[in-house]
Amino acid sequence: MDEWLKKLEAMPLKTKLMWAIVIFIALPFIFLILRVVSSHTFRLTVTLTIDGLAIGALLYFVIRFRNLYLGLGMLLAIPMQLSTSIAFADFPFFIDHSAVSRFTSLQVPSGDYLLGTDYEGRDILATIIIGGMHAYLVALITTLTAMLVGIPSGIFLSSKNRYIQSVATSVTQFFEIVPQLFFVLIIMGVYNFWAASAAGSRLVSYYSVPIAGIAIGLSSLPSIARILENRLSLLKSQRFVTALKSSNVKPSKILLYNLLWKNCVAELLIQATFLFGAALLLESALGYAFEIGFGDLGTGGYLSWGKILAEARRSILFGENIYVIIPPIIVTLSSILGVNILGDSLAKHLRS
Amino acid sequence: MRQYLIRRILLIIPTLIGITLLTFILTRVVPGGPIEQALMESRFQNQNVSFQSQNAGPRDGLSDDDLEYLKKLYGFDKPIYLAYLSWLYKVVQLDLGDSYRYNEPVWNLIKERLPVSIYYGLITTVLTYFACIPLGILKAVKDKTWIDSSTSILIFTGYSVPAFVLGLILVVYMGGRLEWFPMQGFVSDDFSSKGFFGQAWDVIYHSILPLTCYLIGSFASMTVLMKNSLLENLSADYIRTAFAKGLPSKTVIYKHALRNSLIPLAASFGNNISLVFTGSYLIETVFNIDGLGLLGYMAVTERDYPVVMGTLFLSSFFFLFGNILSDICLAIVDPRIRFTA
Repeated sequence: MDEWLKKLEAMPLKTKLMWAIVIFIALPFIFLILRVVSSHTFRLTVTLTIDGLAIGALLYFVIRFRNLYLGLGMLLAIPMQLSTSIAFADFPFFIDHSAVSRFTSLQVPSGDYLLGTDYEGRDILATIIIGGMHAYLVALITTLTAMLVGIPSGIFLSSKNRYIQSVATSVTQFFEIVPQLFFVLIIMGVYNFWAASAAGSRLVSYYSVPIAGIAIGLSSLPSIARILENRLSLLKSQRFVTALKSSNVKPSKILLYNLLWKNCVAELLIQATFLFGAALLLESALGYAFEIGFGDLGTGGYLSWGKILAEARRSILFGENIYVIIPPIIVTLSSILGVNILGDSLAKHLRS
Repeated sequence: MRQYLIRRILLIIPTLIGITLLTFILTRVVPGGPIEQALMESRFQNQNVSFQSQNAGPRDGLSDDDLEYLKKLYGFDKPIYLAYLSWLYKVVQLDLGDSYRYNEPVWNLIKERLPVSIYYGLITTVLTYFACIPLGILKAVKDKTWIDSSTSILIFTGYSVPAFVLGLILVVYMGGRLEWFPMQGFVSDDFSSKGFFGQAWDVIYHSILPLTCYLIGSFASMTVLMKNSLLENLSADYIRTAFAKGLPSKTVIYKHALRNSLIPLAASFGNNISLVFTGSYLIETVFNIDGLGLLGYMAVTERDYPVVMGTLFLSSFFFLFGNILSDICLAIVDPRIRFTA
């Protein structure tokens, strides 16, 4: 243990911070294992304990390295991370509890329903947990897609071959010019129709999480590609590249290892974290937009924080139930703010 | 310079053609167009009819004549390239086609909503610049003091708050609970009976809440840009020289550093132009403002393709135009930049 701690101390601060954030974001996937166990209490206790301990340990290390700002970001992002962990571990239980029921409409918070129930009679806590998982999944898929298409287009944008460059430029420009939400809605609408006609029904009850993630990811391609282009064109004019070239290193190796891996990963990770926050925001906006009148596009079971917000808006306009709208607003705001602070603190340390 | 500008303006044309062609093909090739929707509707209607009453005759979907008529109505009877060319030919004559849903020329629909969008877009842009430049200067001058960090937290919170969530809170609390502001709309119902000042106040009164939402998003990035670029300039050699030769700090900051640090802001000027014309769809729905953003997005969901193409055409045109405008701004602010054709 001591040796391990010493190794940890010896790591450069940048690496530590990067690992802290990656662990924090990727932690929920561990809890998928708990699906094997059938007991609800066991799953919940184990998840809460392990996740609580892990977050506590991360916070301890972060504070020990005197990085309170990063700790604040983690604290604020806890609603998203914790609800994803819980939902991953115990999906069936919470999906049952977030089912619509006529008998439990608009109950004030009590022992049975910790945060009360909403207009449709769902347990608000359960809807928030499931919504948090969907937000997390969409944001994760968005980030991965944007990386997957953004990094090659960034490389092609800074390429010397004029044809490759012009193709990459026009692709990037297309996504820059077409408004983001517009593009995402077109893709989702198309997918929805496709799924509806394949299933032989007029309405598809929920839109697909992967498709939403991929659409948002594609549309945020320019943010990755342009940053990478700037960075690569800056790096390519530096002397060490000339030195590498003259010592007969393969150009592909220079590009992928020396430039991309050694010099761009930090910047890309910062961008990825910001993109994660932006995707959370766009996902809730999308859920909200879908709920407030998108006709045939999707009216059913896909629970997202934006959708809960839109429903809470409806119920607060009719009844005066403030407790329905407070929890979704708080979790949405604090998660987005938290992830953005994570990115910002990363940027402060890695760029200086 | 002139040659460069002419080249840039001419380059708008192929870019626009590329974007509209792609969107046109997308709307044509993918399923879910107006005809498929009509087919599906009729199929489901027939199913319902046959479930509900047995005496309805067995009819399967639309007849061929109906289908032909629909195809002709929506212009689907021609191959894609011909349809696109005829659309393009009409656009050159400033005719964007007729909307499927409203049965009105798209151009009229856009013209009706243009004043609202321009009003919000322009005021947002102007207010953003007026708020961000002083705040950015303040933050850069007082770097790493409590003023800087407290405004940083404020700005960052503003950046993270989704505009529609803020709009929701404002509408519910300030509009609904406290009744300080109207909850929706651009003007009140008795707008025409008021005097000039009454009308002006009415518009302002209705736009306070939406403008807050518009501002909160665009405000953060601009302020940070201003602060960073001023900081970068303040640490440059020529500023040290200016301080060293004994100039008062106000002259150094406002005359030497500020001018140079405005350059990146000038570069972002053009992007705001396209914001003027597209607006923000979600804010428009929250406050029930009938602007261009709402028109475009509702058209996407309703498969009103002429409106989709029309709004996309206009917004991309203004985006590209804004890019050129920022280049001109850049050249005016920074005389070192020389464009070569």
